[in-house]
Amino acid sequence: MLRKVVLLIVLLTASFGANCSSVRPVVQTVIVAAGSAVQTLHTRHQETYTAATDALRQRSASLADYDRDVVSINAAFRARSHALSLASASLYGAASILDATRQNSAPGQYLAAAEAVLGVLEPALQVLRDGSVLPAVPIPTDVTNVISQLRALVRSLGGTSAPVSDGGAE
Amino acid sequence: MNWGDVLKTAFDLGTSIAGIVFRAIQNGDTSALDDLRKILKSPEDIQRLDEALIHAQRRKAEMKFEGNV
Repeated sequence: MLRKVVLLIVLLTASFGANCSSVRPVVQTVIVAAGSAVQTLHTRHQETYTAATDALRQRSASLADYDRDVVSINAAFRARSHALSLASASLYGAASILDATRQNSAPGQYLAAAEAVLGVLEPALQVLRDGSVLPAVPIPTDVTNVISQLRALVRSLGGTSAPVSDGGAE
Repeated sequence: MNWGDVLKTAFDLGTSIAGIVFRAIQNGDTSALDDLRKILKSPEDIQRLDEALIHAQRRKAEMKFEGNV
């Protein structure tokens, strides 16, 4: 699957060689798809916290018990929240670059933007998959597909990217 | 190779990238920021909403132990 995506993006990039401005809409669509994926992850992340704290409230004998036990849960939740906010920031940064180059294609800047997104999205997935304190956030297949597309995009723009893993995808 | 050839190749390969290319053609020259704002919360909103959820869940616990639930 990944090989096909890589092949196609290589084809796309080659076909756009004569008109580099055509690359930008493709990069833009992948970035927006990644934005949708991050939004989905944020929803799942909130659902996971709500379920965990609802369960904690049910089994707590007092508010003091709840407050004591929720500390570690809140710390894990905030770590995930931070990772997702970084992912959002990187996507908005990439979108700003794309908008700044609407009149003048800049593959080098696209590569830097896509690499920056991958650089925070992949660690974010690791944080979300860590179920040591809070249950792991379910990672939809769409999200891992978007990461595959981002990796393929990075490669097609001349960067390097390790093979994607869909570990934990639903 | 034109857009039609690219799309045909994409569909022949059976990859989801075909949809991406199709949307790119449909979208034309749109603002990436505008597109992103429609679907993704800002970093600040993500953290604000998460803090609000922490407080809302704490409030539910308070109400339970105050005998209101």
